[in-house]
Amino acid sequence: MNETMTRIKGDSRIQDSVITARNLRKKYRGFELSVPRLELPGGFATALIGENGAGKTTLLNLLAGIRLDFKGEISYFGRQEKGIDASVQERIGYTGPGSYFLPQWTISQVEEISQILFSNFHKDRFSALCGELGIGGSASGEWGGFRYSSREIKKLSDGNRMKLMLAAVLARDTSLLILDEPASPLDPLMRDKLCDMIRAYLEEGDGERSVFFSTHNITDMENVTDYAVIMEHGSIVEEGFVEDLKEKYLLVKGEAADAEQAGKILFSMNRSAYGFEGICLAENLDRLAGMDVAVEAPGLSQICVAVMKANTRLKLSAD
Amino acid sequence: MSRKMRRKIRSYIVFTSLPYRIIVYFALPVVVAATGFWAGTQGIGDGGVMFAAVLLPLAEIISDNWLFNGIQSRDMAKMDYLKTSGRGMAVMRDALVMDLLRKFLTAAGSMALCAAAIELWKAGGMPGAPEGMSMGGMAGTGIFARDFSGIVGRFHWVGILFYFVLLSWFLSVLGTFLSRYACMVWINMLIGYIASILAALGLFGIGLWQYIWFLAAFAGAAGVLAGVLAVKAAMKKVEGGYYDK
Repeated sequence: MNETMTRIKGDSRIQDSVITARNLRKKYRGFELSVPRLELPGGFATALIGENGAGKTTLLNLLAGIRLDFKGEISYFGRQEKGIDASVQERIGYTGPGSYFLPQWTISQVEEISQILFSNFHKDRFSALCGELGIGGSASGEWGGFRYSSREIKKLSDGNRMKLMLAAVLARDTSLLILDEPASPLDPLMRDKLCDMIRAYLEEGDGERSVFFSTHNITDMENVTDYAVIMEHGSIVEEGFVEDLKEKYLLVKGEAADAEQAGKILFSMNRSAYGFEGICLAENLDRLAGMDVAVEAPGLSQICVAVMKANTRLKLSAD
Repeated sequence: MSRKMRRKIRSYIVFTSLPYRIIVYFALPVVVAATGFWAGTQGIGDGGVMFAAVLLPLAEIISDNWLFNGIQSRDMAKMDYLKTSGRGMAVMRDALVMDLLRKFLTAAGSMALCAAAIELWKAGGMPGAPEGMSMGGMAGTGIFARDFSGIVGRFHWVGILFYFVLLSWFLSVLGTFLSRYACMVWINMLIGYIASILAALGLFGIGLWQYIWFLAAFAGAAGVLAGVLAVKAAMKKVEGGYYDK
């Protein structure tokens, strides 16, 4: 992990870390988040991946400043001052699951309240985004009519609620988006659009904007993921640029006869009657010499599952 | 009006939906005043204002379900959106305080409207008034009297109006404060009915009309206390979301 971070800092494409956290600790009953160090590369989309209960939402809440009872230090946008304040919050757009808006608010109230809460909120952009996302409004920036603007949040589907949150944060001039599970409630078409929107957000920022999102839909979000952070049991177990991870881990496929021996070398493995498939650390590839195996570059999802399997406390097989 | 005050008012208004604004800002005071006026024309004259004072807490407590429903409850929505802004908590506090002020203005406005309408009706010869109503009111206490101002004098009549306004406001504020611990509309209705009954009982206070300004001040102080409690409890819950409380 240290090597990766050294490489990040040495890479001329990369701006300073958008968030730097040190010794983050947050305890709940039966759970502890413990992140000794986290540096999110500026100008990129970073995916936060992990199984349920790994601490993703807790970490995002701490970084977004909506949970304040934790130990450790967080600094934003390369500032010397630690912690979050109004000027930092103005530059961060956060969307989260559950109780984000008051359920009795209407879409037009969200627009009005956003204008008061954030000086960088653009009303026209908001209604244009609502139109684009199919939750009222129109691409020209006008509202489609009373029917949409007067809709209460509690009457919106989970997907439309997420679209509304996205419209509210994208209607602002921000430098960082922190999105907690933005893809989960969306249909496949909207997930694709979400990736486009994230990519467009980053491109318009010209290296000055960053996105940090958690997801279980790794495959859907892979084409927008530059950097990945994998969490298990409240700790970061792996992180790095996707292209670096794809060099670090390799997908190995082989005959069933070699499965037993390969299993001792592979990072994680799936077996079937016909053969095996698993993720191998590139540094261990030599140890597979003599076996009839095919080596491919893995997808991010395959790497993440392998890392999660290696670190999970879940009992995944009957034996 | 100062910029600060305009910002506070705007903070409150954005918490209210368009239907809420139409119904609570405009329709509610008119309906309450009209009901009181109608009651007054049925033979109780100035006593019609008491109907307005009894109705108002019920209407205010039920309509609060539409605004700050369950904000102090255990299962309240955490309103993370407000927490993502440096202004979020100030906006929330302003909205809660302005809601108390709006409740007071609604009480004062609707009862002043009702009293003025009844005054005009009396000045116009009380058309449609039933015969045989006692001018002295119930058991000589003045309650349900047709002409309070004639009995107690203009100074004390104004005091009685103030007492009605502040009693009604106090019970509206106390009722909304309590109802925000629950998320169900029937709880608001139940508390609303209880507040109306208490308002009706409180109206007997005008039997002590010689001390009515003292009673009005007492009701006002109780209203302020209930208001402080309402704002503090709601803010404690909302700000507690930062600390998992």
